[in-house]
Amino acid sequence: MESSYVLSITTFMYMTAAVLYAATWVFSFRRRTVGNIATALAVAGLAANTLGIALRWVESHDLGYGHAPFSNMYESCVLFSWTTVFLQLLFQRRFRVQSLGAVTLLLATLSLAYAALVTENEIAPLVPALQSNWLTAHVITCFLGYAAFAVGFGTSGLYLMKSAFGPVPAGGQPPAGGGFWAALPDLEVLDELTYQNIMFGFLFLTLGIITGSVWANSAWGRYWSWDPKETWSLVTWLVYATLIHVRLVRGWNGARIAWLSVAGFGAVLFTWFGVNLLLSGLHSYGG
Amino acid sequence: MPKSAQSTPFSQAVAFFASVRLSVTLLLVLAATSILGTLIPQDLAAEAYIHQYGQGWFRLLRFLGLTDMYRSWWFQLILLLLAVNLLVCSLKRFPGTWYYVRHKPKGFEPGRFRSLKQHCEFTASKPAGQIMDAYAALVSRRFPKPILAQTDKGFTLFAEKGRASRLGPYVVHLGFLGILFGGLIGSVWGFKTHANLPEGETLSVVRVEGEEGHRPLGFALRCDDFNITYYDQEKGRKGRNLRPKEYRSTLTVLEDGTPLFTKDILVNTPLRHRGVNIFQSSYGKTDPREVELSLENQKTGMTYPLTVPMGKTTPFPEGAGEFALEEYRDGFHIRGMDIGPVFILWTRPQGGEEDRSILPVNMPGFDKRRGGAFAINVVSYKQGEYTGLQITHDPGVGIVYTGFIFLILGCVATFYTSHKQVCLEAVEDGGGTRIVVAGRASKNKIGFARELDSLAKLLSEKGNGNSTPVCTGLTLE
Ligand code: HEM
Repeated sequence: MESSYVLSITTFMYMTAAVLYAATWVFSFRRRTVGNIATALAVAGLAANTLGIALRWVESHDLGYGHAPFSNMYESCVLFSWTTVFLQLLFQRRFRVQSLGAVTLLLATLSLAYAALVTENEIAPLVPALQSNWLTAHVITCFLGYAAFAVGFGTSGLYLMKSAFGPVPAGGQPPAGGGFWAALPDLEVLDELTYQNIMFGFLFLTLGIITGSVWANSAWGRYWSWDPKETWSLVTWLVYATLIHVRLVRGWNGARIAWLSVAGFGAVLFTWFGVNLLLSGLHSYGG
Repeated sequence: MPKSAQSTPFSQAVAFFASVRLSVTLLLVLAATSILGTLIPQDLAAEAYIHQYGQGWFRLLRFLGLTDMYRSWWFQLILLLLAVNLLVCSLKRFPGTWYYVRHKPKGFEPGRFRSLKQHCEFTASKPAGQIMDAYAALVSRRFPKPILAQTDKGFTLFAEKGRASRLGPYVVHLGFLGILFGGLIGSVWGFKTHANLPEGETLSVVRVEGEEGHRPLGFALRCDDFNITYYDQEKGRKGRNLRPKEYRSTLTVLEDGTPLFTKDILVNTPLRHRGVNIFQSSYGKTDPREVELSLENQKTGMTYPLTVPMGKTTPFPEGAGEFALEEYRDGFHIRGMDIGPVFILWTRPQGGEEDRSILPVNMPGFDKRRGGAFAINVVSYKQGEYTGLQITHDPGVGIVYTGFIFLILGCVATFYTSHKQVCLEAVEDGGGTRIVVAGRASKNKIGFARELDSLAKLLSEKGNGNSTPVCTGLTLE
């Protein structure tokens, strides 16, 4: 079987899971059957996603220049969908947040669809600069960070929606009964979940920047050279550092934190895509 | 309210530099200005900017330091302010935090916990006196050394853990300061430069941009060999766009003329010696030293083979003047067409004017057009290879890397350890005992809410509680 075939099946599994997650939420089914099917599909999709990555690894070995499949835009999109779904499932185990799956599985689907339709998916041999174990460490840590920010983007988006359009809780108690809004966690919980994700993402982004920096120092003898990709990762880091400070020191929470989280995820997307598409740089994917 | 501390300029300055408002502002300013440097290309030649923006804008950009922004005084000033901010804030707050961490209170006030949002309530059927020790034992399994106090109608228990978690931010901040400081050291006492080293030649001094003269390396470096291998070679594919697989330079380090060791360097495998790091960075061909020519008399057809060194004026045969190969160019375009490598030819016929023209390597007979007494053809020449080396010395790297480790450990401590406090109040009420368990955590409020829930459940079971405890605060159900 070919990896690209397995990954296109993965895309459809994620898409179906996203639709089912959304359906349980929108129609507020009493029974949990549909939500459980969505989860099962997400789990199966994650397994297929894993298989796709493994196959691609094997294929690169068959071509005679085996390397971990984390070296170009296509492969980074595949990895992003993996880390995002992985975190969603981890989250779902710890907290009852099925409705969040509608957002995160959609992001994973979009990422795979973008990979398949827009990016170059040829398995290319690694240019000398990329031949380093740091590559794997760097890309995996960065994308765990990005995925956590994506999930945090999901929870803060839900927060903003619910606080803007949801029912106003009377006397501190949310209205009884089911329904669209009741399927979402309480605002306070969404707020806390956003922050949990951002802490996790920040830790991994920090690790990602550091591994990249150590790698650059072993390949070119400088740990920081202000190239656009590096600079944008720093900008992202600074936005989230700001969020952490205003929360811990000035006690911000709620909508203001949610907006900062949305802005932070914008910076993530720009670092990931925008720099490659819009700015002329010489970051590693180019060679 | 009278101000307790006198407001001197010094204390005002300290307050200004210790404020989080300043640091948040600086973080955002740093982010915004960093973006600017990615939109405007950095460190190009003046012509490139003039071409892109025009003369006037170029002058403005250069005046504002935006063409070499990350090294401009105002960008460095932002970093400096950030460092001062961090240092002043930490120095101001650290003693208090340290005291807080080292001195656990001997007693506590239950009243301060009554108003906490996160609490669970239930009624135990046993009287307070019977459950007191069992509860203390149970709580101590999760929160060591609880403080037990008897009251007129029951007892209170207080326990906590994780005070040291409050030190996390200081570790993060120290790490960040370390990175800035290491960077500063590197930029003051380190150097970075590039050198092209032809095969067989030796290098012992380097030129550093902005410095006069040469800087000695402290040893000599000889390039024994340079090789490129291509992926497609193995498959027998030929062509221009071969994909490079490996750049490999074999280098020998010599001290006082004697070879110490030989090492192959690759792109991700540098050579390090005496604090100097040598990285594989580029490659190329050296200019030819000697060129073998054939000169043909245009009238008689008589040809003369001649080997001439580059740049040296050489007489034409038969006293027809003199010529020199001034320069070698790897590629040359005439009206958009690439004619390959050329030599720049300087000629002066006997009694004539000097002139310059090109001598394409791959177009024999081209020189006939010059109309001289002799037409020159290039027969052969040899080019060596050189390896392009990035040579650096950075005494700050150790500090920067230590900063990295602090940053990571500090983030883990700040995010994933928490100062947790719980308080239990038992009041006898009729036959049973009303129990309230309240608590707070400095981080991960949801996780803590669960911990408190499960603790309350255990306590309720132990005390033959009426039912599951009723909890308020953060819940997920
Ligand atoms: C980018 C560099 C940073 C700067 C310039 C900076 C600056 C500051 C300043 C000036 C304060 C207030 C003083 C204080 O409360 O001690 C502060 C507090 C704090 N910072 Fe940072 N910080 C940076 C990075 C970080 C990072 C990466 C974290 C996350 C791990 C962090 C976590 C905190 C926390 C938790 C506090 C509150 C400390 C407390 O309440 O005692 N800082 N920061």
